[in-house]
This record gives sequence, C-alpha cells and structure tokens, in this order.
Amino acid sequence: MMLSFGQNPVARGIMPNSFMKRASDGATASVVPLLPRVASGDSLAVRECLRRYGGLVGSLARRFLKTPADVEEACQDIFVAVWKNAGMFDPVRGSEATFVAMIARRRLIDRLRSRGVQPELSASDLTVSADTLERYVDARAAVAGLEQCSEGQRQVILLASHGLTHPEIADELSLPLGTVKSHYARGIDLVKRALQSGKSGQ
Amino acid sequence: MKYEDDELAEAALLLSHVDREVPLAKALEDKLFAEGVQIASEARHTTSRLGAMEVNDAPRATRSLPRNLWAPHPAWYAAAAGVALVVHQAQIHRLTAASPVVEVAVPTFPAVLRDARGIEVARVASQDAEHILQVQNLPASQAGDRYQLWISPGPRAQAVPVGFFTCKEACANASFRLPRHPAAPELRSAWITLSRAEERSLAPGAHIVATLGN
Repeated sequence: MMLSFGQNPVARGIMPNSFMKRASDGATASVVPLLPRVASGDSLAVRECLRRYGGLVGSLARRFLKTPADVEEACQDIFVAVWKNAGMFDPVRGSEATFVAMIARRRLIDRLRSRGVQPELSASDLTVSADTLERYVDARAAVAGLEQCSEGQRQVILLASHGLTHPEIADELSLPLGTVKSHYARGIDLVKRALQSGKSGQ
Repeated sequence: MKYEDDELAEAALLLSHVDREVPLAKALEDKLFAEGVQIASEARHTTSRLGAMEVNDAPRATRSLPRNLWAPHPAWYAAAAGVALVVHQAQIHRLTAASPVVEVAVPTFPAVLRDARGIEVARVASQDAEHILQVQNLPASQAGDRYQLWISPGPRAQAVPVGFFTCKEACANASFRLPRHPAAPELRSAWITLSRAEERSLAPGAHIVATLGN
C-alpha cells in the first residue's frame, strides 16, 4: 500500500480552502454531553448515547473491519468500553464524540493487532465529508491543524491516526524511523494546538 | 483508562474521515442498551454520614477461588483486621477533611463558591448551553489530580458531575466553560471537589474544596 498524498486534495485528507471557510463560518451546535449521566447510572442517557454515537461507532468499525459479524462484535466491545469509562470523559480536553472515537479507535486497533493484522488504509479512507466536518467541531479543528503541517508531517500523522506504528509508517513511506518520529511530534503538536484554539474559540 | 492528548488528537483526525453514519440495527441497539444499563446500574449509590451521595464502581465479578482457600486461617483474620482498620481510618479522615456543607439557594448570579475558611475561590454562572466557571484562587492540582464541578437543582442526592478541570499552576482568574447539564436547569447548589489520581471516586461529597453559599 503506497499512498500519494500530494496531488489529490481529497486523498490528502484535506478539503479545499473554500469549504474550510464555509465550515468555519457555520454555527456550531452545542451538544450536551451524555457520558456524565451514563457514569451516574442514568439508563435514559445510555439509550441516547447509543442513538447519538451508534452510527459513528458503526462507521469506524466498518472502516477497520471487513465482515458484518466482526463489525457487530466490535460495536459491542466498543460500547462496553464506553460505558465502563464514561466517568473518565473530560469535556475540557475534548468533545464527547472525540472521546468515543478515541475509545473506538483503540479497541479496533487492538482487535486487529491481536490477530496479527496491520491496519490498512486506502485513498478512499482519507475522504473528508462536509457533513462530518459540520457535525464534529473537533474534526474541523484537527483538519485545520493538519493543513498547517508539511506534506511529510501530514502523511505521517494521517497514517498514525489510522493505527499504524512508527516503524510501519517508516516502512510504508520509505523514511528513516527518526524522520517519522520528528514528523509525528511536530505534526501532532500542530493538530493539538488547533484543537485547543478551536475550543477557546467556541 | 488513561489517555493522552496525542491520542485524542489522532481520534479527532480519524473523526474527520468518518463517512456515512448508519444508525445501529434495532436488535443490536437493544442488546447494547441492556448491557449498558447493567453496567451503569453497577454504580452503587450510598449515603454517607455527611449526607453526600457517593457513586463508586461496583466490585468486578471474580472467578471463584477453590474452597480450601477460604478455610479459616490466621492470615485471613489478620488481613480482615487490617482492612477494617484502613476503612475506619479512611472514614475518620473523610469526616475531618470534608468541611460541613450548607446548601443555600442562590437565585442571583453569578453564584460564589467559597472554601472552608469562607474565602471566595470561584464564581459560576449559567448560560444557554454551558456553565461558566471563573476561578479566583485555587491551588495547583497535583499530577493526575483534577478538580470537578458538581451542580444540583435541589437536594444533594440530585447532584450531577458537570466536568473536570485542572490547574497546572495556581488558578487565578482562570475561566472554564463546562457543558450545561439538562438534569440541572436551575443552579441551586454547587461544589468543587478534588478528584485524586489514585481514586476513581465519583463522590460529590468527598474532598470538597469549595461550596456555593454566602
């Protein structure tokens, strides 16, 4: 698998600037978190949480796994982890959707790794949808941060976000491991700063 | 579960690549709901001598040990005595460490939170979708420790956790925006507690550092 990030803005994982402007101009709906209620034993919040994040978790599971049975099993595994860790959600650090996506990503990568499988990534995996950016404020900020990265940093960060380890990325991009690590450190710092400024700008 | 900001940033990037979201199938949603309710209900609600609601993780089910391990043995008696002593001392510590809490209905905003000495440490105001917490003076939180704001529309049994925040250096004139909780549309009482790194307690009555009042 060798990806070309440089030519196609969609394959680069970046939307055109015109879209970014439109997205940043749009009003951001505040979503009241459900996880603190889940942590306090509110069963209504459990149901709401499934409806709010079921589609997101299913979509992420389909991205990593091939068969519907695997996807279903992974969804179950992810939501159990979400229920058990609901009390750890900290709205100061990130949105609830990002917290759920983080748990999903972790469980999905663990699932693949336990089978000795490396996460795969295709150019179509890097498409950014306008709807998604409208809906998830953290995603919008992260993409804005990615735009500030150099081409090399962007490639490394995107592969890392899809679960590849630094040695795997070095192998994939034919880069020295040290270069991958420095690209990652600088790139992820830009993304984190964009997330922070996105929060303070809300 | 611990997590770093790097991992959150990677998740936010992954979020940007989410494509079509299809709601879960009804049967799967029902199955997940049943599991979720069971896990959520494992949180035990008890009332302490201070009247505070405590929510703790229920003990995990463990595999049964062979019967002969449970046979009377001097080591078990010694261990039980040790546990009883620790529990007793923890209770004494809690009773002395937590200041008496007086619930005061404060219809005017911003509401002032004061520490046990009566010194103003924070103000809280509610806006459309969030609570604005202005911290005047709170000591720096130790590594891993976090402050947590609790609010309630009435009795303390209805307290809900609003969110965590940390003070890497002493918090002076720091502002935090915390999501407004639908269960507490009216702010009647509020607390700031300190959540220790080594604990996973969700108890609104433990380690109170500031209380709404006059």
